[in-house]
Amino acid sequence: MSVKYAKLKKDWVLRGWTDAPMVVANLVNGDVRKLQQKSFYIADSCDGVTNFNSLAFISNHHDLLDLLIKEDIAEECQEGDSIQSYQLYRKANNPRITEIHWCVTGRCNLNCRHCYMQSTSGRYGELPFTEMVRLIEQFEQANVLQVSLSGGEPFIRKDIIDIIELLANKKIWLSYIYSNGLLITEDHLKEIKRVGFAPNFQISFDGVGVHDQMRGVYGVESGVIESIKRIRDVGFPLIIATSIDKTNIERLAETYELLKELGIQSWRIGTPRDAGNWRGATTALQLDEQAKACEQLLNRWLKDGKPFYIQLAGFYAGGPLLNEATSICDLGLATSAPTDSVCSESTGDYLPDTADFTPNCYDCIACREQPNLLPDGTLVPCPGYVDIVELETMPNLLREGLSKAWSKSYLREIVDLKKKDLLTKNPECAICELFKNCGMGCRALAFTETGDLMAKDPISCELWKNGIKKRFEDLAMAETSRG
Amino acid sequence: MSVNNVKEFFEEVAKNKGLQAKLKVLDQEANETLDLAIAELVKIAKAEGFEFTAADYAKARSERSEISPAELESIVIREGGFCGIGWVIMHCTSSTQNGSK
Repeated sequence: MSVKYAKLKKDWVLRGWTDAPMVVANLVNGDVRKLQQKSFYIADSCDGVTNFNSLAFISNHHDLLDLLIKEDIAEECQEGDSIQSYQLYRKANNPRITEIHWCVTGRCNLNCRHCYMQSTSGRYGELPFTEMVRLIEQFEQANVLQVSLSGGEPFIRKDIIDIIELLANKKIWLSYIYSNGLLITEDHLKEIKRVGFAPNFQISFDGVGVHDQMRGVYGVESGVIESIKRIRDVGFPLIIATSIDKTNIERLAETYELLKELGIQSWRIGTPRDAGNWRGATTALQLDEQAKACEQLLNRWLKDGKPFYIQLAGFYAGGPLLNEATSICDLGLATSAPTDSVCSESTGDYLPDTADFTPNCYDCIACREQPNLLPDGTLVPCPGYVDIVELETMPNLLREGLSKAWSKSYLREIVDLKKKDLLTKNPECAICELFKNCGMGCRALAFTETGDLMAKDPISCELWKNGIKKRFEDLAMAETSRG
Repeated sequence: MSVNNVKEFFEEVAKNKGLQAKLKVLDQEANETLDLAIAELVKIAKAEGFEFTAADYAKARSERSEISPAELESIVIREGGFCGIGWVIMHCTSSTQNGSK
């Protein structure tokens, strides 16, 4: 007997945008599936009240329903066990925008030497709560699926929980929180749990015994470690972000041991970008210095059996993906494990499983799917454009609204760039055999390093041409085969 | 009249909410017999310009064909979170661009 009634599972919603008019999307893990007319018809009928044994459905429809159930998108249910209103189909009048990286304040309680936002001075300001409400309404209208909160320091806002609660009410999933950790209290964590979110927390920690000098305020290191423990104990996934330079690179091994002991899920190590407070810094590392330190760390991590996910600057990323967060949600939403994504030759979109960069790929899926909203309402392609691009050239959501800004603006021109647009300006990359791996690197970095948005990213070029990327990959591969 | 007309009719059904509503109430329980329900369906189809017989419908209803991968194509699956570029130099590759491995 075939399934008579079915409904979408609670974390799946039906949405549409101008460039993807029919999709079924997972609010929690960001999985977005484009639907053809027939599969949309079936997904739209997974409402708990449509009788699949009626004459409206033929055998192929039942096969599609079986597929939705097999993919964990829908489930069999009793008659009348209907879906929630937020799951119903909604189409936005703008291209696809799955996530907003939202800097909710330009203020911060620290004085980091490498802050690209120059947050101690509050350079980018902060909007009052009433404006934040208006922005969240814009997210909803544009069918934004997820938001990550950053700053400045997001917890410096007294109304941060109100903002989070509003996102929960609008069923916009809070995916990440980026914080220095110091202002996060147990009450904050309880409240976040209460409203139904299980965000990944990325906490900045720059090394044992050296954290404070990087952060420009003394006596805060132990406070960060306590905060990391608090977040861990609540069960939220933990990512530690470490910025390295000449002053803390020697402490990486000790820091590694501490983070292992703390039971984190992911460690991201990187070098500060030449922007904001870091401009003209005298302690920046050369690429070979970074590579040497990261290689030592990679060896240690491999020998330890990859205790967490690791991202070693531009050299290597791998290991166990972030833990599935506990399903603690009042929303009834449960997280699921992420998967790799790569580019489809036919559409320029990104698909699961491995493939190479091709000229038809969009330049950057991160910019294309998850732009960065600054504290004053300016929307930029990603945080990498802060302090590089003239902000006046970018749309401000207080003036024109997200749907319009995301449809037509200079920002849109940047996110619509394809690799082939860049190749015409850089013919040497078109004949380079490493293009498929390098993809000409990152626009923001090309802009930072050369002042030309369309130039090749020189650092990415060096990483690939000098075989540094390959060396790291080989090292990881060899150890994995031995294991 | 043919099985093809049935398939074309159901292509139309997939995009026509009004037709869907008419057909979703047609089942054996709502009608005295399945034959009566099918007769009603044939009548609705005819009014929409798709002519076929009950036998054509029965054949098309049970016919199976391969599901195209495009029916449920993933366009984004990712870990979430930005690639780190604002804060530091990370670098994307085809497989790290989304912050996943």
